[in-house]
Order: sequence, then C-alpha cells, then structure tokens
Amino acid sequence: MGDFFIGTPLMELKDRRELIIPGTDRVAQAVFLDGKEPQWKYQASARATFADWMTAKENPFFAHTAVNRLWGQLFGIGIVEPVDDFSTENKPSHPELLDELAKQFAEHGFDLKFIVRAICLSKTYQQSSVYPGPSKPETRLFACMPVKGLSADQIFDSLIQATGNRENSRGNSNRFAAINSPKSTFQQKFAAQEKRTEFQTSIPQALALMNNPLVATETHPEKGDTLAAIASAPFLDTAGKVEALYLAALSRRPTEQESCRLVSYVDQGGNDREKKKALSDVFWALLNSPEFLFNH
Amino acid sequence: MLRDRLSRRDWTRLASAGALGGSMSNWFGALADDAVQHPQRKRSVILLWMAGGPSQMDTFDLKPGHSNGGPFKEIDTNVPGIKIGEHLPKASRHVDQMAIIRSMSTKENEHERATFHLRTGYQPLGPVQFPPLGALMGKELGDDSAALPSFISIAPFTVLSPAAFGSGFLEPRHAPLLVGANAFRQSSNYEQTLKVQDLVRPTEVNDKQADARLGLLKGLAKDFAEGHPGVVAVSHQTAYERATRLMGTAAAKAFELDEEKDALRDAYGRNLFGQGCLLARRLIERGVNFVEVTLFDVPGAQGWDTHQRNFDLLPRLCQVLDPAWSTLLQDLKDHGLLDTTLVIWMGEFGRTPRINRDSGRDHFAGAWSTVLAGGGIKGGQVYGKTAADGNSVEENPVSVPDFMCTIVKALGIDPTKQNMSNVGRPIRIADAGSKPIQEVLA
Repeated sequence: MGDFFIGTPLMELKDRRELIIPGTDRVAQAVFLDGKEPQWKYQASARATFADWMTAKENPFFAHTAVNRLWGQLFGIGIVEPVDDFSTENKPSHPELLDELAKQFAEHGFDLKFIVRAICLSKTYQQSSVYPGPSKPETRLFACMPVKGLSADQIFDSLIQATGNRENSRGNSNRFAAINSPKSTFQQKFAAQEKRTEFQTSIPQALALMNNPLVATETHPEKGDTLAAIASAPFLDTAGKVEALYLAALSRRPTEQESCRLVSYVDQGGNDREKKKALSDVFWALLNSPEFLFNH
Repeated sequence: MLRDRLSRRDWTRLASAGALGGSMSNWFGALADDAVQHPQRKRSVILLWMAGGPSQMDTFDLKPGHSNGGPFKEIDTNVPGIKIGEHLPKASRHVDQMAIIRSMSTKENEHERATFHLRTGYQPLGPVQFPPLGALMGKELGDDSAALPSFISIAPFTVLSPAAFGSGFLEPRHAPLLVGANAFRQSSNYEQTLKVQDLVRPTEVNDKQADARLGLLKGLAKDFAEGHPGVVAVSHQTAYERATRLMGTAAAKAFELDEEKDALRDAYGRNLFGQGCLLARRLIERGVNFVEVTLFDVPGAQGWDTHQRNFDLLPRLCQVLDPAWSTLLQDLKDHGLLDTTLVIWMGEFGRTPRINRDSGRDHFAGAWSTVLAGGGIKGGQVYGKTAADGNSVEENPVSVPDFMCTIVKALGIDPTKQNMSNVGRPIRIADAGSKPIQEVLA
C-alpha cells in the first residue's frame, strides 16, 4: 500500500511506483489491494491512479463505506457500527438498506446531496426522539431518533448563539492567547466521544456549564446580553419573557405547563429586581438542561 | 438542529402524561453524604509522574567510576547496602519503604508512545483506546456515591498524549478530574493552579438562589428523561449530582490547602509539585482512590527531558522532588495512610547511560528505574540489576505489563480481570502473559 504514497505532499514523485522495505534490500511494487497490477498512465501519479481505482463504480466497498459514514453522521450510529469496521464478524444491522443506499449513491454519480436528501426525507430519519415506552428500544433498530451528544464546538456555538455573547463568537487566531480562552476551555472539556448515542456528561463539563465565567456573565440579570434585553423589555409580560428565553435557548415555545410553572416561579419573586433574578434562574436552568445540551 | 422537531402538541401530551405531576425523585438527595470516613479503607494510589523521563544514572542507579557515570556521587540510605544519588538526600531516609526497581526494560523510547505505554500498560495499537491505570483502578476501587471523583490528576501535562489522560474504552465517568492541567510556566501561580476549575459558583448567586436553580433544572431534566430514557439523560443527571456534591463544603474543602500548618506546607515545598503532593494526601484522606501528581514545570527546568545540561537541570528537578516525595511518605505515615496507599514514582522511560556532547542524556527504554513504596509493597530492597556501563539489564528484567501487574496485585485487584474494549473484544487490566514481581509484593 505504501508504494502508492511515495513522495511528500509537497513534491509528489510521478513515476515512482516502488518502495524499498526499510532495513532490507527488498523492493516492493505498487499493486492494488485485490492483487491486480495497476494500468499506469504516463505522468499520472500513483496516488491519482489509486484514487481512481478506489472510487471506481466497480469497487463496491467505496459506496458502502461512504453511505454508512453519512448514515452514522446523521443518526449517531452507523448501519455498520463502528463505521470504520467493515468485516465479516461485524455485520450491518440492515444489509438490504445499506446495499440499496450504496447502489443509489453509485448510480447517481456519488452525489452526496442526493443521498443526504434521500436519507433525510425518510420516515426513519424524521421520527421523533421521544419514545413513549418506559425503556429505550435498541438504538440499532432505529425505532426512534437516538439522543446524541454535541461536539465541543456545537455546544460552545450554541451557548454563544443563545446568550448573544458576541465577544467570544470568533476563535482567537493567536495560538497562545487562545490556550485559556473560553472556547478552548470548552473544547478541552467536551472532547469527542466514540459513541455519540451513548454520550456521557462528565463532572468538569457540568461544572463548566454551571459556573464558567462565560455562563456566569450571560446568566447575570444585568450583564447577560440576551437575558438583560429580555428581562428589561417593557413590551413583554412575564409569560412573554419566559417564551423569549425558551426561543433563545431551545428554539421552541414553552408548553402550557412549562409556562405556568415558570411564570409563577418568576412572579413570586415580587419586586422588579427579584423578578429579573428569577428570570436569570430560568435561563440558567435552560442552558444546563439536557434539551439544550443534546441533539435529539 | 433537531430541537424544534417536536410539535407543540407532542410536548403538551408529554407533560400531561405525568412529566410534571407525581413525585420527583430527589436526585440531589445525596448532597449530605459524608464520604470522608470509610470504616473499611480500600487501597489507594498516588502516582508521582515524572514527565520527560528521569535519568536513572543520576537518581537510583548510579555508576560511580564509569565514564557513563557523570559527576554525581552516591549516598547511603536508611537501608544498609542500598545507595542512591546525592540529590535525593531526604528520600534516602525513606528507602526502607521503597522497592527500587533498577531493571525496567521497556519498548517505547519516544515521549508520546512511551507516555501512553507506561500510563496504560499497553503499547499504542491501532484503534484500541486503552485506558490509563488511574481510570482502570478508579473503576475497580471507586464508589459512585462518593463526594469526590475516584481519579484526580494534578498538574498533568497532557499535550504529548491526551489519550493517556482520558478514560480510554471505559465509560467517560472514569476519566480523571484534571486539576491545573497544562499549567505551563505558571508554577509560581500554584495556589490558583491547584483549584478545580469552575468549582465555585458566581459570588452574586447565594445558596437559596443556587438551590432554586437546581430545582428548576431538576424539573427540566426529569421532563427530558421521561421522553428520552437512556444513558445520555441518566449520565447528565449523574454528572450534575456529582458536580454539585463536589461543590459542597466537605468535598471542596479538600482543595483548601490553607488548612494545613505552615511548617508542613514548607516541608512539601512551596511550588506546584510540592503543594500538589500535599493536595494528593488530602484527597487520599477523603477517599479518592487514585491521585497522580505530575512533576513538569520547576524553576529553571521543564520536565526530565534533559537532552542538554543534564547535570545542571537534574539537581533543580530533584530540589523539588526530594522534599515533596519524602514529606508525602512521612505525612501519609503520620496520618496512618501509608499502609493502604501505594506510592509510585515513574516517568515514561529512563535516559541513555552515555553522556552526549551537550552534557545531556537522551531517551532510553532499555534499562531504567522506577520506585514503588507504601501499601502492598515490601520496602527496603533493590530489584533487578543493570550492567556496569548501565546499557543493559543483567538480572530480572521488568516489562511494562509485569510492572502494571505488580501494581494491580499490590492493590488487591485481579490483573486478569477484563473490560470490554471499544473494538468489541475484552481486554485484561494487565496484558495477557504478565506476571507480578513477587519479591516486591508485601
């Protein structure tokens, strides 16, 4: 395999197709994984030749692997799972579906948009993540949409979007200044997990979401960008303010019950200052809630 | 984002289906738990991690008179016949507690791979995410209802091998709580560095308001969990419970080093590693199972990677190590904790016996030293022997799996116990075929 990749990325050697095995005198010739001799073309690099072979319509693995990875990205779990482990011992959960998706992908010239559209328009993808029963059905049966963890960037960007904090919306291009920036502290704490459908929240993550200076400022009744604007909006009553906080954090309106519960929580605060403080509690709770923190 | 995919009607239906009524399980109920006093104390571990790879030739396996030996002298210890390097005078008074292993013979001599190898017991291998020892031991010894996490890593330098500071293929709850991670060149600010990040809530939020917030969150989390049963929602609840407990007075107090007498704090050394070792004792005392303290950033030196000026840098590193380590052993003893606490001293490899042209020593995995002391260990001995030039092991070579197996045995855990890995096959705590060093075990 290594023979296809001779030469650095900066200067590819177009006519080298062999490699001396380190520590020996043996020379290995580049051949395809199926043992066939490549048809070398003049001035075409070994890597380009390999890429052509790999993505050829006749290679069934390429389309299968690609659509499986896409499926894994969209559902948090592949039809073959882990998505990079295609082997006889690790069978697909729905082989016919995988074959059909792969076939359609190849027939449509490996058009990613086509296949993403196909998956997203399916009933399977459009199922609710809410399951009415007492225990969750087996994730691999896709009986309901799995709840998935968010990436560090998704969590941070969601926080920024919900709180209206513009200061930290851009990354710092200075690597050293960025080391202890709010963004990098979130990136450190929310490292990617192997199984997004079994995402586990850690103690440092919970602490960061509860007490991090960014969250502290943005849930402060006077300092929080979104919060202060909503809390002091003269045209909104308490119900309107609670609704605005829900829209900011969860992109939906509260249910009647939720609204009742939270409006009475805020109104029992009494004076205007206490009410604002109570609104900050509501916002804090929304930002720490699983509905905000997971993809569902 | 799929957030808004649920219709308003769905939510109403859910809410009326009982999400709001009925009894709410009190998931912050364990707040008052006092995990500090356990009647039957399990074994615990303090790992003193020597980032960069310390020179065995100048610490525990000197070769005076040989051209590889260098300028340092040997000194007597409190065990007749055992000599160690002159820059560890205080530690030399505790050799009766130590098993000095001079015959480590390992396979990786590059920082990243060796750090992974020594911390997990396995060589980096394809997609298998081997967990570090602390995560494995925390899983075996730990108690989820404890106020403090089972595995805490103090001042780690995780940049070289981040995977060796996570939970590997174990559940993420076994990952270490990192305190003062990558505090590069911030050792003068050790008081701040040794605090848990975000442990304290904003000052303007008082107890009553904090409780009210948690109450609201509990309601939201419960609603979500009813519609979305499963590990993601449960783990969210558990993490918030444990984080809240950690914020509680009893647990947070562990990090208040001010409570200690000045004389003791001085004895440990007023620096990141010294105070980190003191914190380690306070955490062990409060039931944490595995604490590691990394020695990396000291005045004038960055870790043990002494390719240049070895004989200038090593004394500086030892000046920090020696008082901290010896005070830790004494302090554990004074608190009655040494019999149940295994103290490990190791880096990722040793250093070349040959001195290079920059008066330095380079990476060397062939023949080097580690030290085990305290709980489960028969102290006052040297195990293994290297050649006169230090280039090879002459007696009793110790591989990484054997070393891990010995540690696991010393903690009273079965090293053949298996955990399911991320590649779907079970993997032993200590690699198959490994044997404990019986001579070293008490």
